[in-house]
Amino acid sequence: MKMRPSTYLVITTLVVTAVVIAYSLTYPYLESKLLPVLVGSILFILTGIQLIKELRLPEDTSAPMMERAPEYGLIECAPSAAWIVGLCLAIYLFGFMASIPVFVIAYIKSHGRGWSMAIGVAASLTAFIYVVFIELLQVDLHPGLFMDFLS
Amino acid sequence: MIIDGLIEGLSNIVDPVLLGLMFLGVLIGIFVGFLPAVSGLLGTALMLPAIVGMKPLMALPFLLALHAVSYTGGSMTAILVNIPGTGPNAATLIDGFPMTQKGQAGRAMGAAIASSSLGGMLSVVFALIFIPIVIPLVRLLYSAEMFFIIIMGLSFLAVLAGSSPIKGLMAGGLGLLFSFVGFQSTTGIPRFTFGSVFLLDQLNIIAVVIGLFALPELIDLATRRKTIALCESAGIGGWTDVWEGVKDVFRHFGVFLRGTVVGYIIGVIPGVGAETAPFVAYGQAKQASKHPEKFGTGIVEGVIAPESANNAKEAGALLTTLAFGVPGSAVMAILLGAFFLVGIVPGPEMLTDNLGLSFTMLLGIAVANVMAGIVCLAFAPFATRITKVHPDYLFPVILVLGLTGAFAAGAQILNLAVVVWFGVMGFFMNRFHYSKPAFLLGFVLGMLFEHYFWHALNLQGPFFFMRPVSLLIILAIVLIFVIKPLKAHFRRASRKRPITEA
Repeated sequence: MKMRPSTYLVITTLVVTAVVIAYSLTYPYLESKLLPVLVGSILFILTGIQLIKELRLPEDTSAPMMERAPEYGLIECAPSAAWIVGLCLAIYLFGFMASIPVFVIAYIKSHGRGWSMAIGVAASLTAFIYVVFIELLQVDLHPGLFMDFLS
Repeated sequence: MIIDGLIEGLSNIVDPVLLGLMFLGVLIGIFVGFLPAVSGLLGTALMLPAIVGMKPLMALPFLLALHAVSYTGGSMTAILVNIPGTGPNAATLIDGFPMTQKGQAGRAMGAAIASSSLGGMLSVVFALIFIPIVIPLVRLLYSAEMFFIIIMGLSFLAVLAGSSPIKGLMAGGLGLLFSFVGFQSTTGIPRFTFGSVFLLDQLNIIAVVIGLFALPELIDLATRRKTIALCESAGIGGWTDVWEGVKDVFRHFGVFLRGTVVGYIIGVIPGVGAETAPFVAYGQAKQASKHPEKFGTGIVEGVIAPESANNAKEAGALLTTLAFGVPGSAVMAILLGAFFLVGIVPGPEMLTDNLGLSFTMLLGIAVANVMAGIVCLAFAPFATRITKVHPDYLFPVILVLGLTGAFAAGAQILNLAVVVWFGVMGFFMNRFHYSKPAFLLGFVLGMLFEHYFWHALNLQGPFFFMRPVSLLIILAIVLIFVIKPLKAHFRRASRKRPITEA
């Protein structure tokens, strides 16, 4: 019996579901707790069955339920994920209009592309966001905590 | 009287000024639909001030044209970059994006544009033919019937589950649980909000879809550093490919027709939700298919079914809004506001005294769909070029548009956190083969499921299902899942018989 990466996911789901059921039971009215408890319980049973299936699988099986070997490992995917989280944080702190051009230039340059393309793409995208979202659709794009603090 | 109204509607709709105004509405609708996460709802709301002072005959078809075709624009982003332009386009990306990865973006777009436009037109024909039947039928629908219609939608979880039913049902169950976040509809008790005001208003579907579907693909795109079209030898999707997609709609005419009927019926029923129709149409197409295992791998039927339902539901939704004066969706609520703004009071009189205007609006939907089809087909070969752009440029552009769209969808900065959270979930669901469509179906229908369940129970008691229409819907659910295995069983039995007899 060997723990696979997918088994950890199933165990996490099992624990989360148990917490959801316990948490739902604390709600005051039947209307607010019945369906979360019911759905949570069904999910708990299904997850338990899945866990047993995974633990019973032989190590070298190629059964369809076993996960396919991923094309890229977590380490290889980490830089892309970091760019995404970085942009979200930058938007939160400095707002959309400041973060977008800096992010686009930084990303394109760090991948070995020329300045002209980096600046061109950044300028076009920022202009597009400004014209469409701010001017035409009148969306108040988040100004950023830092900008809020300065103002 | 109906013929007179139809003739008046036809003579109104050929007015060049109205056609020009509707064309403008179509262009705006396609544009707002094409923008990731910006829906026709926002476009319609923004255009409200523009109709002040206009005649009802000009203002209402203009707004309807704008809204009715936004889903056609939305299908393009779903197919090309895995971000649905509008919420109801989420079902299109299940097969649309894999087709793009296989180098068939042009074909997928041709199929999506043709099926959504033709579906929109055909639903108008349905609306015109079935007005006398549909209106009395809608009056028979109470919370119990709505509940069983939602159950019918949820029953397609088993179809969307894929090769591993337990994993599929787990994903659907998780989706249902996430739909419970926020205020409970009948008691007002906040659930799973952990003290956050942001979570009181439930999770925004656009942010969830962008996180679940787009983020994992973006990570894959940036890590792989190859174009979206994985097949290097594939073309960029010229006219031939787009036209091939259009022809696909006629090759799979049954899928298209069933999708349109599903869309129209769900559109007629107020309060079932715009996202329900395409998912039910997709699930139904998969259920009825001879090769259901291919759904989700990038087949054209998986694009035709949800897209034909998408535009088809608008004629149905308009009919109910006109007849009862009760908006079935957020957009219809805005349109209802527009009615009052130009001095029209919706209600049963719209189908008697104002029949000419009602027919003009219905025909307007058909004409807008024709216009949208032509504009989008002309634009499609150019749009598909995006699939050959290097990820070094595409990744930041799609990411920025996706995050800006997610923010704009609810004007909440914490939507970005929702995107990231569901991005992580989507990443692991991809890796370990959990069905994301099943999760989304659970999430979309979960809120409605609970709402109608308690309404039916409170209004009609514990035997709320013992009503003729409810029992008919229950029978339909059973038949959907029993007919196919029964047919297969009888086919096997009839094959064996001659051998046994011999």
